[in-house]
Amino acid sequence: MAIEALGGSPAGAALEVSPRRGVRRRLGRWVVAILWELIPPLVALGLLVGGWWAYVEIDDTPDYIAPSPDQVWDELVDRPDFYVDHAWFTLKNALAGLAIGATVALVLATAMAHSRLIEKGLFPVAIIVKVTPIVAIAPLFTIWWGFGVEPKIAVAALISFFPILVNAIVGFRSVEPAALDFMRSINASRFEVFSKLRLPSSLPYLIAAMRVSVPLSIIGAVVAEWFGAAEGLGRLVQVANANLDLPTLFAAIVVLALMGIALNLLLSIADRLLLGWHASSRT
Amino acid sequence: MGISDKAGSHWVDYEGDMTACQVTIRNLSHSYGDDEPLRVLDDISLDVQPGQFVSIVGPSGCGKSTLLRAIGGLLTPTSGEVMVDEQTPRQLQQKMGIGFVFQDPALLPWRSVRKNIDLPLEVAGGRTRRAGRKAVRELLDLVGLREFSSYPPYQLSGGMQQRVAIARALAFDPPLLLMDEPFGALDEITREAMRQELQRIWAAARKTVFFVTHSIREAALLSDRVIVLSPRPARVLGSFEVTLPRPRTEQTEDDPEFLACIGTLREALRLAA
Repeated sequence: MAIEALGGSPAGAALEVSPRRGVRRRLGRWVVAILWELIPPLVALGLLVGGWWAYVEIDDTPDYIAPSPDQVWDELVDRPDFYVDHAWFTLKNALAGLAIGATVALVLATAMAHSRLIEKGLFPVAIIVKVTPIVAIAPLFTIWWGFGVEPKIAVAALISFFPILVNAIVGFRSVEPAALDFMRSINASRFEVFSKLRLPSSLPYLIAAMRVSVPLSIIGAVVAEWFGAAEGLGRLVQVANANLDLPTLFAAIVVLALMGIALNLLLSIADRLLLGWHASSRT
Repeated sequence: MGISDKAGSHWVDYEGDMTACQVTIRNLSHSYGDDEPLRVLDDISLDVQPGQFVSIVGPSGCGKSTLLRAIGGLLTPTSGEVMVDEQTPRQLQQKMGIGFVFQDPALLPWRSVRKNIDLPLEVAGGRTRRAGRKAVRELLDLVGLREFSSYPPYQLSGGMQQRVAIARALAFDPPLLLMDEPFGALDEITREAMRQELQRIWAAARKTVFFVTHSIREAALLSDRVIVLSPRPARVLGSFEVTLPRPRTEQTEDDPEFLACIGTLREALRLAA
């Protein structure tokens, strides 16, 4: 006697899809997923830009207070290479810093999740890193490492470190006790418990951490440029501000915003791909 | 979902390893905490023959789960010992000799049904991929979930999830199967079906089974032997043989002998409380 119907159920039939149709369907699902990510923010952005444009036109605001969107657009299309180069410099530093910050955070979180003693010792240090204003430390890095990429990477790493650390510790510890018992009952090693249970269960926490840390790393890279840099969007903002060159200032801000949107989009895709099993993607 | 005759056809061809183990528990006591120890198990001694289906019943919070965890090597008792065929539970655990099923199926939600059942094989790593895969197919058939092999757990009903957990526990054909209120979270209809299913699985592969339950009926229906524990700290109040013929079906539950069994157990538990 059985409870659920077995052979020939519609659910069973769904498994027998030809591979090509499967690929096409998956592709279709991808396109839908990407559109679903793109359309709502584009609508909101359109409203924002439209409002700005209308205000500037009606108020007849001078250029040195606020340029109109078309001026900013002209500025961007006039010299796209210029903006791409500066953006690349900033993005590169931000991502390098994020990579370092995330790696250190994950290694420390792994140790701290396994040992309360290590957690007790290291967490206060992490708190110190967290509460010290980054703008106070940035000039120091410039003194140490000069005007190159190092201070920017260091600031980006420092600022993106803490959210990942905290989320990773909680994530690594938030495993179902019964699942942990089961792993023990099949004699899984600590490493197997980590790689097969703790790490995957922490993914929702890690993605949430990245959503905080990715924009922070860009802020870090931009702020670091204010304390001495030859290029980068932060430097561009600083110089344009000094010259009251508002179209350039706005263009740099727009590029920064686009950068943030693109990175967030990547995170949303990662979220959808990695967390299909998690309640957050089903509600 | 409905009742299907076809389901039965998957089940008969499973030929499980017939090995089962003898379990000897001697003067087992356990306390939690150091400062003000809470005594949970009090001098428990038991001898269980290979292939016996043993249910453990007792008042809520009496230490049934603690006893099961001690037998399964998940907990080191304060004193006394558990021996499984002249080995400690830990030694048997290291040989993948213990299958555990908890009240919560505790499936890994990011793994498909197949990959969940595959987990113990993966951790052991001993078998070749091909042999492992065949074993997983066999296990899926055993619990009647072949069609759901690539499904994620959250798309399965509670009863189906628990069947996956049972299949996973049987991945290594362990001689000792420990079940901690495995049907506790299921509705009565599913529970009824799961009891029949468990009987069938046990008949196919005669493991030594320890089965913790709150339900006297469930214990009497499934077991060769029912152990009644006292309120905390748990002592063995009685051990009752259930000699009703198998397989035990819904008709068995109307059998006067079965009702007498239940009466005896209920009386024992009433005295316990």
